[in-house]
Amino acid sequence: MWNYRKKCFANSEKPKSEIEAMLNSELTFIESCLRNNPKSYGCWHQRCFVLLKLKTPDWKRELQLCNLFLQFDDRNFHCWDYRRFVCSHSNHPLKDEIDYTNKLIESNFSNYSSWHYRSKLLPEVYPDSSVGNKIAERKLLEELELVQNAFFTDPNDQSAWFYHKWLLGRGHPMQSILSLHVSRFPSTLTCTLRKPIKEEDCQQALVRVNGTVISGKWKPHSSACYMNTWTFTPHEKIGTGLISVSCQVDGVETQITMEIDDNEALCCAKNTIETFCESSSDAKLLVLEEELNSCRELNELEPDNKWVVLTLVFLMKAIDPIRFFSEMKELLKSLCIIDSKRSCYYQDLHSKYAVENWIICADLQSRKADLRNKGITRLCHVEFLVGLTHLDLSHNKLKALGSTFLVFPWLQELKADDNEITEIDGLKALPSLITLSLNSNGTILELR
Amino acid sequence: MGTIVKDVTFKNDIPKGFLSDTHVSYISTYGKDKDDYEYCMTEYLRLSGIYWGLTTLDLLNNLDKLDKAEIISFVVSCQTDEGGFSPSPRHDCSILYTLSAIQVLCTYDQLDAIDVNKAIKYIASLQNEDGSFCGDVWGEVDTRFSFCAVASLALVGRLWTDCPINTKHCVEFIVSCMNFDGGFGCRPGSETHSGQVYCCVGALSILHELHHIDADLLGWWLCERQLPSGGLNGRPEKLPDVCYSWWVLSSLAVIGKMHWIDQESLKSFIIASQDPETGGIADRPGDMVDPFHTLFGVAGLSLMGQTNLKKINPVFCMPQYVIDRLAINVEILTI
Repeated sequence: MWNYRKKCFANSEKPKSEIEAMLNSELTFIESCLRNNPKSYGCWHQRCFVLLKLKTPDWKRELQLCNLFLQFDDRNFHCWDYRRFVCSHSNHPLKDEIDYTNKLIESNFSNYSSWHYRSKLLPEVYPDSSVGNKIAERKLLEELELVQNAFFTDPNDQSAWFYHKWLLGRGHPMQSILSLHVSRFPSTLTCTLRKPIKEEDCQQALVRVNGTVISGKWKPHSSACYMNTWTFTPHEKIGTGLISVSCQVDGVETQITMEIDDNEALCCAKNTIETFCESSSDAKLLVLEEELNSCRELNELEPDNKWVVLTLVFLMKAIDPIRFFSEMKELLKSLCIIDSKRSCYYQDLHSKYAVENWIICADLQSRKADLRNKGITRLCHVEFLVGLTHLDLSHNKLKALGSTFLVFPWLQELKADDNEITEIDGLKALPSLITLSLNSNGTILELR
Repeated sequence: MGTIVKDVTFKNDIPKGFLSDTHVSYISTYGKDKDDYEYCMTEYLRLSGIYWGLTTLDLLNNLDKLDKAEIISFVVSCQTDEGGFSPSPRHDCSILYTLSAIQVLCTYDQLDAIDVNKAIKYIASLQNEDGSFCGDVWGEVDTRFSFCAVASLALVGRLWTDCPINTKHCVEFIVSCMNFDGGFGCRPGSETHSGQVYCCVGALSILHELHHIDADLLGWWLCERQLPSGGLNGRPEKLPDVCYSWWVLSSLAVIGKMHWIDQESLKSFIIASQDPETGGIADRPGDMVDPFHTLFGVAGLSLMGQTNLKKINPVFCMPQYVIDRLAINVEILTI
């Protein structure tokens, strides 16, 4: 029906002034339809159509219309989208929009849409000069205070807790080379990247031996579209003697020195807390520590509020996941009871933090990993572990050794006794595996 | 005052057990009376309705209850001069019903009944420079339409060979719709909504570009859709609805986090939303049933391993055997 009306406007041969009047009365008609059904895609789109056709659109009135409809229902995403349409076409100052969300947040509880809008407005109005799509620090700290007020006022309103997690930062990792392995016999170079790349990105990669670019062929470790680990086979064998090999791919580079008598050399990037989270300034850390204390107090008042407990975990992770690990572990355990529907999420979250802490403290160059007894339900960040020759995952809670295990080209010994493993698909392509131990597991389904 | 959690509570007389036979008869007799008020009023979505009913019956191993020839001829009659499909003859075409048409014909293995090339041209004509897709010639942009385009082309085998769209830009547009919570909305800047999450995750899965997603963050937002009743809502502070058992659950399945919700209590919610007298499934317990919620309830149960149902593909919401026959390979995360 709306299309029919659009066709009429598009094909009308009436004089421009008459069309303008008709378009304006169409707006009245649309408004009455919206009052009946404020969630109709077709209706809101019709309004966009009319506004774009008008010679003199009244954007102020449109903003007022949005205010009105958002008063009825401040979660109406059609109206919010229309509001963004109006703002972008009328160059309405975004600072005013931030103030508008302030008003809504102060007076209403059902705020998810307002916080969401802020997450878009703030990085645009107060950008952090160094990184894209981030908020300038002083604004970020103000925002932390604002959201803290919100969840202390109403600890059961989830929107503030979700938004707070975002403010803590999650560190979108930059590309980096996690490990570089070179061997003379056979002559190969294996490079593992933090972020997966495609075959075409590999074509631009450069391998140098003693400063000279050498030619060869790149191959990924499986047939997926994007892979972290790539192996380069040079057209001419890598020679003897002390050599320096460097690899430059997807904008990052690393270098390794191979001793005279060595057949193999491996270098692994050094990992720190910042490998797995955003680095925080002293000012931000101070604010986070204060927040941690306030949340602890709130936790005493409301011990069964899962949002408080989970936010304690997120705060500890953002401040120092190693210092706070045992407390985080206990809190996540308690969440499995307070919020049992999501207990697998909390177990997986704990596993991730356990593996991250292990990676930060481990000597990956030794190529041996002891991950026994960590309560691990999943093995995250395998791309950090590619160089391993020995891996012990015994006494954990793994249910499968799935396709993520296909990445270990040099793994000779794998132990995973006393888990809950029923599926071992990932083991079908471990070329160096000599020893495998899977005692005390579930009934293992056939290796396909 | 504190916020109260919006949810439903079960009465005592809720159905127990999966009433598959009642659903078979509900769907197979739906639309037999062409003068039925509800039937007439839903003409504007008829083709999608056929896809919902057909898929439900196939999952229930009763596809033969429908008149295949009648349906195929209806689908053919919905192809317009533009190449796209309308929900019923003489209605306007759009990308939504083009996908439904392709889904129906793929299930029947009769794609040759329509002019596939014309449909492909229509879909390609709807892509914009920024990679987004319009729903029809009138220009509404929404990530739902990106999913419709990508899924349609995958089903007709034109995504990897002779692809008429710019998939790189398509992915860039979808990624530009990602929000602070890891989810996706209709357009850049739009709030996260489970339906849009399904569409975006689905499109990225078909294109093997799931690495753009923060699976832990999105998985958390998705598993928080589960309410004490066991049902799932579409976004925070909304009521549970059986159709979200599909949009949310299948998204979780694709990113490898289905175990992050309590499947038993979700099953109970879907079971409780059945109507034992009429058959069919409603949006929540006690409400009126319809084919839309019937499909998504049955699909959700299939995804959770219900034994007397065919296996469903979480991306296309079509029986897995059809996707296997078409040799389509989607990306599913396992950690």
